[in-house]
Amino acid sequence: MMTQADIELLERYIDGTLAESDVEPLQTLLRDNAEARAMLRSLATVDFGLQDIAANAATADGVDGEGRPSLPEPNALATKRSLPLYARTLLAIATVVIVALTTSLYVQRASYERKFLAVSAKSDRRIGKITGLGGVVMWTGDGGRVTSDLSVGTELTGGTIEGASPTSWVELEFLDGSTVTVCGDSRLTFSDFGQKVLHLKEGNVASKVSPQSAANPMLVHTRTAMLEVLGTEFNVESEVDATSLNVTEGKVRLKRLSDGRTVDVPANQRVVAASRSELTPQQIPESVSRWKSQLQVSPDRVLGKWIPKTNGDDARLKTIPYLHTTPQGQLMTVFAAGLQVSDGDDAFVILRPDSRIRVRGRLEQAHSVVFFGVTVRHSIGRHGGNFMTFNPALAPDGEGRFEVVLKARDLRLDPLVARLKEDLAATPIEMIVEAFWCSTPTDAAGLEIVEVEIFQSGNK
Amino acid sequence: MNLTENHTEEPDRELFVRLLMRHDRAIRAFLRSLLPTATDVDEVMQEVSVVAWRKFDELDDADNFRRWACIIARYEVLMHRRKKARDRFVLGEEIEQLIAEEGLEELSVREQQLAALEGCLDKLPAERRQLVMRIYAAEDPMKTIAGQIGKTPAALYKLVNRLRRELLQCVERTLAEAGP
Repeated sequence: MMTQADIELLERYIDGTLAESDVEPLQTLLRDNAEARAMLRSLATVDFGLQDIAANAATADGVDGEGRPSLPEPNALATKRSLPLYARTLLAIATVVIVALTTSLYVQRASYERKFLAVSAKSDRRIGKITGLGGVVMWTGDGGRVTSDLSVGTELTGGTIEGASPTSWVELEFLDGSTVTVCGDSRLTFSDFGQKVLHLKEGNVASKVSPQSAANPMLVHTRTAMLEVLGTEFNVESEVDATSLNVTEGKVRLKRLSDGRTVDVPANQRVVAASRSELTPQQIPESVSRWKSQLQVSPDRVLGKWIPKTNGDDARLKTIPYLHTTPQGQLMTVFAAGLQVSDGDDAFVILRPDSRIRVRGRLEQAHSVVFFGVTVRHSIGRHGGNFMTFNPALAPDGEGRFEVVLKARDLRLDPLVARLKEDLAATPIEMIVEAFWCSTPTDAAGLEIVEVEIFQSGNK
Repeated sequence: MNLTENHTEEPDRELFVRLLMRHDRAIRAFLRSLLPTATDVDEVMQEVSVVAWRKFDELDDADNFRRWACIIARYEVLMHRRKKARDRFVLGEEIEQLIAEEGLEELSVREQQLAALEGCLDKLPAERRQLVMRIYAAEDPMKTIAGQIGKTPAALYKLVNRLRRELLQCVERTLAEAGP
């Protein structure tokens, strides 16, 4: 049963006149009382209806009921409008059509270069700064201080940088313009005392290195190898027992730690450094547009809680909580799971205009909201952004199983990084798929992934 | 209803525009219950229409358009939350999900309410009706309107709320009289 005070609380919410002290009682009322929620929807309907009638009346004759021109100023109940509501909607669609017909732009590197030229006075201690950032990234700096309060432009003095979710990424730019991009659940320690030294404990780093002096090449240490870089573009992935190196431009010297053997890896070649395996550079294979997860075989390269196959149930990956930072710096929790798609061992997986992503999984709550997304990068290794989509017809069966097919062209840049869109790809199409991930806003959704497959629509 | 003409890949875009125009108000009313301001509704509605346009060929049955578009709206509200300051959103995500989920089951009623509202507005005394329209047309700030009619802004908000409640009661009465 609702009281007069409850109704007034809802009205203040609709009017936008809530006091701070109203917020908690409102949350409680709406959480516990279905009648209040229905009342809120009714009030919202009337509120919107009146606005619509007023907007249409003003548009119809250009004057208000008293014969004055309708040039409105905003108040708490209304919003400025010069077109009927549906016309605004149609305009939005028209804009999309025009954009789709005329452009498929990729963002140019120039903005990075402009930013670098604008670097302010150099401090003695800083060795670089952040030029791109998404998701929650932790930095352990001098003196062991740990912070996630990072943003584009933050100057760093060396230390360890670590991604905290499948969608985390950070690009660092050294003072000489060399860049390293750390993606996903990776951990990189970096320093520059006249020689750049990176320690990649685990994960994936893409780097574009400006020419270094022969006496002081950039060094990249992994568990199984050491790389010497004089100036080049490459991508390196470090696992517990192997290091995969892909060189896009220039040359990188790799030394395998288990036996001290070295090998020079030229442009467009790759090598995998693992004990007792052939240490011979191979041509980087042609990229592919088809890929299937291997969750049934092993939990390699996944983020989330892997649950092995049991009687009657496939192996699956359950979402776990991750933190995100909003553009305003506030933290929010999402429940996500992710799988690495392109790795150092196999051909890169590229999204084509007609690519589809088939996802099989389980959902405990039938009407839960589920977002699906990919993290992509340019062929040269630079981070391209996180792109996401959803399926409005996601319908689990009686046992919670679902299967959806998503179109690559529906993937949109994550709004969380929209402010960086000039520096990210405009679209994930023709980009390398670094990872696939999915998320829900609440743990109650109980989202699990059983299988993910990327294919082109004509080939399936 | 099949959404593609002659079973080609290209969906019927004219049908899309007709469906969107027909259900635009219902979708906006649904959004209004999930978003703090009318401006947010405008912003999110533009995204909803764009996404619905892109995904239209995935819709199996045009009769489901309204519900389908409202599910898209629900996702777009969450996307909107990702890019806006959290303190703008008074309601937590779980409460918002409850409101949305229940709202999806009553879209027909809301559409009927919207249809009945204009008739109920006409039943208000002319002076009251003009006041409501003036406020909702965003013609003047509430403070200005309040001053012109010799009330404080708080008193004017109270009056508007009373009128809105009267309109809601009238709408519910109208629907009850019309029967199921």
